[in-house]
Amino acid sequence: MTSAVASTARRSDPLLVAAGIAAFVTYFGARLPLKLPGVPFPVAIARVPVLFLVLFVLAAVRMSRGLDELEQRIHLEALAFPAVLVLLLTLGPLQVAGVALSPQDGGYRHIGTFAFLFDFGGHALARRRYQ
Amino acid sequence: MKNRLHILRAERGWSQAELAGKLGVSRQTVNAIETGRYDPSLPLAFGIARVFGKLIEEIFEPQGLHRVQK
Repeated sequence: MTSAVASTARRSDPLLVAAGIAAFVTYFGARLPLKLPGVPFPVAIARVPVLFLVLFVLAAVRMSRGLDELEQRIHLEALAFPAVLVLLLTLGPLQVAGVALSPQDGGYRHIGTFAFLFDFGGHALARRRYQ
Repeated sequence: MKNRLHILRAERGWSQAELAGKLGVSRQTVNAIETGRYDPSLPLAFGIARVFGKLIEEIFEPQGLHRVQK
């Protein structure tokens, strides 16, 4: 029982902060060269921010485990927002890099579907902890 | 769920922060429980009962009881 009322001293996770800053910097850093004509490895450049964005989300989940139950709930609800944002920021630079998702549509039409499917994945992973 | 947390805390002259410290949760959590915006987990409810030296039923009062067959 004592573990359930665990200490919730606020401590900033250095990994979370570093990943957040790195994601921000690399996202805007990647967009600049991608707009130049003939830049080598555009897809690789476009994917650099994704690494840090995923790291940021993982660090946020890890940090939330050390919080008390109400703050955990708040963080989990809040995570829905960056999860969709990661999707948008992933597709955005890829589109700038010239990777067309589908020539027939605007590219972002399926985001809602992706988010819905990812939600199933998230549920499957989360429920494993309680089975 | 209704609760007497605010009354019990006031009787002891504890601030929300002090109670939060005893329970190992944030002050916001204590405030959310007191104002009825958040129902604590069972372990936390036991923790609250232990801190006040009371039974859970003496602190929390369910507003909409689940139907339980006896």
